[in-house]
Amino acid sequence: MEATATRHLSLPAAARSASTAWDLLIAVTARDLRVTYQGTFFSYLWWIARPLAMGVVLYFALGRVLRLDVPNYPVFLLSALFPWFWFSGTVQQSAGVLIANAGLLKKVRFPRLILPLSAVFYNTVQFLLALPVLAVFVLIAGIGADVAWVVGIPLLLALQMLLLVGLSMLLAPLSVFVRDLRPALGVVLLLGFYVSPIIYPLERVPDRFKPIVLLNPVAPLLEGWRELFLEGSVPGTELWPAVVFTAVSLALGLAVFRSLEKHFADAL
Amino acid sequence: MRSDDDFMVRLEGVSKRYYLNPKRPWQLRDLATRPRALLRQLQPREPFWALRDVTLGVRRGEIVGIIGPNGSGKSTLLRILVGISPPTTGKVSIRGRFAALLDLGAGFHPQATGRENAYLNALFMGLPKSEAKEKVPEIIEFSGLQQFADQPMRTYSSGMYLRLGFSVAVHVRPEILVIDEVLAVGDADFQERCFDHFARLKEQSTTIVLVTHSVGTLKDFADRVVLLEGGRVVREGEPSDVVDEYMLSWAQASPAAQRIFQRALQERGIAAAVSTEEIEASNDPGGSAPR
Repeated sequence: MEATATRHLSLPAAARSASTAWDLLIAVTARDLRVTYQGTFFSYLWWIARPLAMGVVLYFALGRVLRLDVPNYPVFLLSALFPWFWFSGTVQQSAGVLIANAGLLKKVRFPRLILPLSAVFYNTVQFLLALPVLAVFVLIAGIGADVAWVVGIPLLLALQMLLLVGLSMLLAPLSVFVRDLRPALGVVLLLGFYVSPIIYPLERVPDRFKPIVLLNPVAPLLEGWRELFLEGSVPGTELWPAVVFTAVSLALGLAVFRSLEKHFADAL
Repeated sequence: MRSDDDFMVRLEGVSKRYYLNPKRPWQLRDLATRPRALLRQLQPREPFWALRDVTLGVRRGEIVGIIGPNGSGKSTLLRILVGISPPTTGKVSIRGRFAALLDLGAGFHPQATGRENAYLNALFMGLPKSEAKEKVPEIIEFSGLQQFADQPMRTYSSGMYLRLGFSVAVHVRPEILVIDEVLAVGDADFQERCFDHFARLKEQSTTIVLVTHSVGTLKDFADRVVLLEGGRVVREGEPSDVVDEYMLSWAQASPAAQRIFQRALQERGIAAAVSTEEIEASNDPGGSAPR
């Protein structure tokens, strides 16, 4: 017994060119951004408020109370907090995006990939809007803008975005079939915050714990963002673990998504 | 015209199996309280065939109605047809751009305005950006919702949802239009407009597959009606034949219908001795469905 579904060339999926799917992706992302802060006076500032508030609290507790000896600690914190919030926000949203759109998936035929991708785009736009705020803090700290930003920001942006696309394609479909994944991710992200070099520099991590940090796909990226803003240095070879993670997550994510997407409507 | 190429939609021996969930999903605490339940989880789940061996073809420009009681597989059939859900066995082939209106709210974001949703819905149905933008005013006008187009959808009634959803579906120039029982929500005026539009679409040889319980409209508009029961096609043919038979079999099975029938007879002063079998014999000389 074999099941086949022939979709001739003129079918939506086939006929819909990549550009039409792209239009849809942009429109969905734009709608979600618009809807999130609709009717709020401070609008997107609310997204910046979370990493900023966290930065203030951590600076007080670790910089002032425990007197951690790290130069430029406010910028040190923020330059890792912003990319971390981008990362964790995307991961969390990806794990819920298909479940949140169950009605759509059960009733409308469209390229399913739009949904995890829109979760990535949504959070990426918010990160981009937050970057100028980070730049202001860098300038206030007297570090000054650097030409390295011209190369460094697009490089890190592209790498982290690709990593998130891979993770999103992997986590979104799995969370439909393994409902424990979403709460589990909340725990993993909480732990991830502390095993990532956010509140402490990577070089202070004792050697025997270094492998743990190396297994963390975001760690090299966070270090990269920080060095870019604190020292004006373009990250180079030390990014290799992140590149490996990105490549693996993209390949794995695409394979998992492609094999599971036809069952979304029945599983939701 | 080559007859085989004439089919816009073709299902051959399509079956769909779902699995029934256990009465209560297994949880961690069962490890302590009901360890045997864990073993039961390992047993194969009970299958449920929502569709069995359905073979169906719809030609270009045809309007096909699908009727049947709740749970007979109508919605499953449409979902497979549209390609949202894969068939367990059998072959499905569809040619042509289709638009599907399977649910009132599908694809509408309650916080976004009617206008935004109309645009987005057109994109979801496969229209390119420029065309979708161009169609939005037309869609709003057909829906008759001009006054509320810039209000968030959460303020809309189900009738307004239907108006907008239907307007989008017919304005994306589909070659095949698939509609699941939603039109009933519209008022008489809008339903009339829908059926006028069906007639126009038919002239443009748009193929329409329609699930509905308003059997009267099928008699007027459909070229063919398919009766589903228990996931099987039990009858297929002339709308009035299939619809009458379906209504009759419902009347025979339903005590409520019997009561209404008896009361009507009593009101007319006829002794309530006439059984439904006799009615069937006089109304339907064609015989009953092959079951």
